[in-house]
Amino acid sequence: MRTASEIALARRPARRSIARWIAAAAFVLPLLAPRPVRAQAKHIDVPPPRGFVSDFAGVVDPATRQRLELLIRELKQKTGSEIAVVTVRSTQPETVDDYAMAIAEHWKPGDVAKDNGVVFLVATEDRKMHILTGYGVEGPLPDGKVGAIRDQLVVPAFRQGDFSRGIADATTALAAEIAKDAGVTLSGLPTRERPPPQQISLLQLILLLVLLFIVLRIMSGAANQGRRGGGWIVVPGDSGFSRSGWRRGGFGGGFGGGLGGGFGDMSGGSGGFGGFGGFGGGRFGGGGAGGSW
Amino acid sequence: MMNANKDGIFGIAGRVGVAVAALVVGMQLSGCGYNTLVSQKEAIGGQWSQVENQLQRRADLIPNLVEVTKGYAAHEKDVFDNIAKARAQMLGAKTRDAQMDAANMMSGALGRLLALAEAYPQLKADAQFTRLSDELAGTENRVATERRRYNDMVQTYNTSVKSLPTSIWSGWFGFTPEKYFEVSPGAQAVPQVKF
Repeated sequence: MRTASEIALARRPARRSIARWIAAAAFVLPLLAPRPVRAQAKHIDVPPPRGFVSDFAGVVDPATRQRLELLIRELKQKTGSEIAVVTVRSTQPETVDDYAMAIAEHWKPGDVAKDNGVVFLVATEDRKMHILTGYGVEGPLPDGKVGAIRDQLVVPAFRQGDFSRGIADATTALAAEIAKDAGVTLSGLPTRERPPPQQISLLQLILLLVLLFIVLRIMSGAANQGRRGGGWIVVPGDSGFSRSGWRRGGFGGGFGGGLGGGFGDMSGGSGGFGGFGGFGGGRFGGGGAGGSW
Repeated sequence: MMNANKDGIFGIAGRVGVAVAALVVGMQLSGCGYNTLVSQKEAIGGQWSQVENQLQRRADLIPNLVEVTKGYAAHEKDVFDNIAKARAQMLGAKTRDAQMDAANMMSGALGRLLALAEAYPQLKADAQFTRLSDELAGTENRVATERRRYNDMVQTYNTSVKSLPTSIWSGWFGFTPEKYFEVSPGAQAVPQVKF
């Protein structure tokens, strides 16, 4: 009895076509192969943050919000830690724990090297809350202590319907524990980080134009070395300097954090606060405590 | 070669060589090369040790929690026996499979322990029990988080292994699909701390 391959080998044209088929398949199949899907067992959409305090449910009074923004900004200046305070009406169909984790993974509060972020989520209509601690604050904020903050500060105020007080007291307590661990004290008043935004953006614009001018001049000088008498003004697009290209290359290196923060302000939409430039990149392992009231 | 012909061995070998070369190039182009599978499999191993860390952390919490609970509900022998059994199975688990089963058994047993708080108001009011059950709930959450990340990585890897053309050769090098860390139906009663 002959095997299939022997039968194939016995007939030349067939064998040749099989060889071709294999070669063709080797090239075509990879193109047909499905790309591994970006595995995310559970995809939960969360809105972008509005600041350190993102009051989507509209239950925190403006004065409290302002006070907490300043407090967390000071905490960030002194320890690198960031607390994301979030209120929503409901997290349905997700559980509050899963939703808090989704916020933690999308926003990434906390320093990227220290992982010292906290997410404090309140779902007002679900009557549930959850405080998630980043890897780096599990020391100063063990689950038991977070649970005590919930029992002593959050639940009693929430039961009276006073969200502002519960959120303010608990956030202050969380910040105080992190500050104590880092050996600093919080006054509630951050130091000024930069002059008013309006002025700096004008300054930025001038600096930007000057820089652009110099760079283009150098570039066009190099490009025109071959042909004498060529003009030195080059349209950015012509030399491959797309907008994003030079921002990433020539600009990012020179200016670093200061300008990044400035741009963050505009896109982050943190309203009148001006100090929020996005969260730092902290990671979370699921620690913390939550419950209902 | 019982059907050797004019082309001779060189012709056949040459064609096979071309086909193999094409296959190798195709493998690389598809983004599922050997090295990709190696690094994906390594990542799964690393993530599993994160899961193990959290399971260990949970196991370390249990003696204290059992101690406190016994002070209020000493006669609930079933509950404590189950925990002891799950703990023994956990310690004896040598393979990843056995660890997963033991972890699920433990989740079920712990769920029942925490549920005792509903039947014993004094236990529920005990400050130490509250703290320990918060620690335990937090650790359950950590286990769930690391498990989800583990499963995400397994999904990525399994997709690579099972996709064409990788699936043709992945088995030759021992790249077989990994098992997901499923939650058994009985263990889904995740301890809930209610107030």
